Amino acid sequence: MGIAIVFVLLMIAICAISLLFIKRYNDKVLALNCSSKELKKIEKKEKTKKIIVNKDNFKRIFVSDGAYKLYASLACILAGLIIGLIILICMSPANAFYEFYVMLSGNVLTGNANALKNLFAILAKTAPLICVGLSVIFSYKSGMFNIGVAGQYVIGMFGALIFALQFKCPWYVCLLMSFVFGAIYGMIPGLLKAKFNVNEVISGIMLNWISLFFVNYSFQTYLKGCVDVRQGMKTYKIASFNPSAKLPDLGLSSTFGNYFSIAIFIAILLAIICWFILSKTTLGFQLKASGLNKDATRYAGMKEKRNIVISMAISGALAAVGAALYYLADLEQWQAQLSNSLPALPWNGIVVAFLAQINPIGVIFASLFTAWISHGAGFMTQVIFPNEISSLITGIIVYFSGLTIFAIRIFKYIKNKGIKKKTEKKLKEGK
Amino acid sequence: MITAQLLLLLFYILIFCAALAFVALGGMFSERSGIINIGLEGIMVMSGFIGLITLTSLTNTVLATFTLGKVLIVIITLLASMITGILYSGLLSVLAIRFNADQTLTGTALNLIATAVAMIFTKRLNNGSSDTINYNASYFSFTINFGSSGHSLTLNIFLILAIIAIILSYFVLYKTRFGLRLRSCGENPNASVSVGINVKFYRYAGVAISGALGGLGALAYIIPTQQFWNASNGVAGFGFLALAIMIFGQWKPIRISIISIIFSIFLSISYIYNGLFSALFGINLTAENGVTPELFKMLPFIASLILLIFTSKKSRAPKAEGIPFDVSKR
Repeated sequence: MGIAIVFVLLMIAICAISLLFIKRYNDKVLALNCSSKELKKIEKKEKTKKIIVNKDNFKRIFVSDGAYKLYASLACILAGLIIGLIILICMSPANAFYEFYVMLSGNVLTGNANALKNLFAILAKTAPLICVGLSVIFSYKSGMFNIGVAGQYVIGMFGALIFALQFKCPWYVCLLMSFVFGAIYGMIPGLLKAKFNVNEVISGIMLNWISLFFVNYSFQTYLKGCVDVRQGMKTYKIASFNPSAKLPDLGLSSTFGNYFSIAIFIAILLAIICWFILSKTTLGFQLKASGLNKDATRYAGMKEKRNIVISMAISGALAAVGAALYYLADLEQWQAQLSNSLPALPWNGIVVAFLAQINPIGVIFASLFTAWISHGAGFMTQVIFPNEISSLITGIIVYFSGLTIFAIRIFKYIKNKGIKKKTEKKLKEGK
Repeated sequence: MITAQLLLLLFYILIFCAALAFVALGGMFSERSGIINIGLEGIMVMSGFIGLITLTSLTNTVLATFTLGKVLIVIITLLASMITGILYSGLLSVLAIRFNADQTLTGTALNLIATAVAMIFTKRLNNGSSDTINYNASYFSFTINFGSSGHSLTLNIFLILAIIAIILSYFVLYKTRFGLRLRSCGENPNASVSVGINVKFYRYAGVAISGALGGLGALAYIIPTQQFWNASNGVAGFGFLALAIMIFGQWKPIRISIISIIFSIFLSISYIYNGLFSALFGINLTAENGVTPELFKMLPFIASLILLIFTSKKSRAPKAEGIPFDVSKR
């Protein structure tokens, strides 16, 4: 129980800090629109405000644009959870609430002995989710909907496993090669869009299936050395076949369980790098500009076609690295014969990206949440409550995240109504 | 031997081309009204699931004992599937038309939800042990025997329904007032609204038609091929393939039906390549020779990608597709 309270407090603290950052950032954007004289005035005001802790200033954090986006995401999560709970109740009213609690706690907060192990199992799944989420964000910022993230994920897994099992390279080479594989594969829809005006959603979907069949074909024929024929064409476990390719665990796996590896740190680092590229560099500016208005960017002298290809390449590379972080951590083996459908994890990249409101830092928390409930769902009584409940909830969250703009409008309407009432009250009192 | 294999090929081609034509026509109606329906895959999974549940629950009742009852079972199953498709696509149209949401995102959400729902309830029906539904496909098919030769070809009612659907959709789209207005909403909704056409109604109608046809397509794909359905496999990218066919068909019903025949040839070869090659050329294709089913399963997708490159430059996509309609922006 103690861990539960600490965790909840930690989450609240993180939310508050992120709100502060969002607010500061919005003020800066506001400042850019003013002239330099006004800017200096604002800066002076800010300084004086900082000295005197103003009550209104603190209140303003909660009504900034960033805060509204956060509210919208939380509302989506709430809607998803409520519908999930209703379905659970429909299935078996007697156990529904307890099982719902089990899912939400992710078997970490229930206070059993394996709490820490479960936490790291969740973190191990969070790492690839962050990467695929970043992949979706990177393309979405430049106006492309990268639905081919599943294919790039499969190709990334392919690249990592070839170099781990066939050529027996160390883990960083595998990671790099999966990056390259993913970049090349992600570039294809970008090139087709730029050169031939092919809709990236359709070409992405085609490439998804091509990648799946290609990888399965390869492992069954010319890469037979990588798969264990006796175990139904499963790829070998990296830990026993080529230990140097396993992601380093810094010697901590004995205390934290097998799930611990540096994957989560790499993923968080990638999120920060993505945030930096998108909001602080010229490349990021160009990508965002071509996402907002293609014709205007061409008019301004930017190469919008080149930008599309670059953003898709980076997007593909990120998805591929996500796969490498998952498969090189030796959590799962690819089944070359039985995999008839695309893996479910990369699809959650779309969930995570829109839950985070297309914000690279927000993806970290959104991925943690998604991985959390999908891990927790596995601990429900499977005979009554199949673990796909979690993917249903994430699906509903995506569905409702389509309403974000509408929800923000409602929030603002409510806020304005409140202000109106207040001013009316004040006016009446004045009279 | 060769005749039998060719008849088997024809059997598969007819199944797939009916199913593909249904779904592609559905996508066409939706896009012609201005809504991109990426959720067709999800609509197929959902309505196929409900259709199969209806079928399995009806096969154990009195209806299965007499001929008219069997016909009734078929009709009820088809209707259940179509209504599910309409209702489920309503989720897309409400968000995309009423709330101006991102259509691609909403469609993707529909795909995610459908797979999850199908998995949850099939597992629940099997008490968590497996994710397959067994069903009786015999009501939907009839067999033609070729006289003394001993060969036979099994056909199903979906083929007839598909031909009707193609003719009807051509007629509705080009020869009726409804079709003209639907097309105008996809090309230039502002102009349509200026002459008093209710754009939102036609968009709702377009998506609803796509849902109904998606539901038929799902049954046409699932029921004739096997005796069981695996919920985790869903419809194996069939809805997406249909969308690609719709693009090659340039959003025109007759072209769509021709191209779905071409694609169904690719698809059927991937199912029976082994028997076909050994019968025609005397070659045995196995994994030892470097051939696995995946190689042939890849073919339709690669072909569609290459065809997309050649057709997308002069694409005749509806001009307003994917853009939320807002009267105030006129």
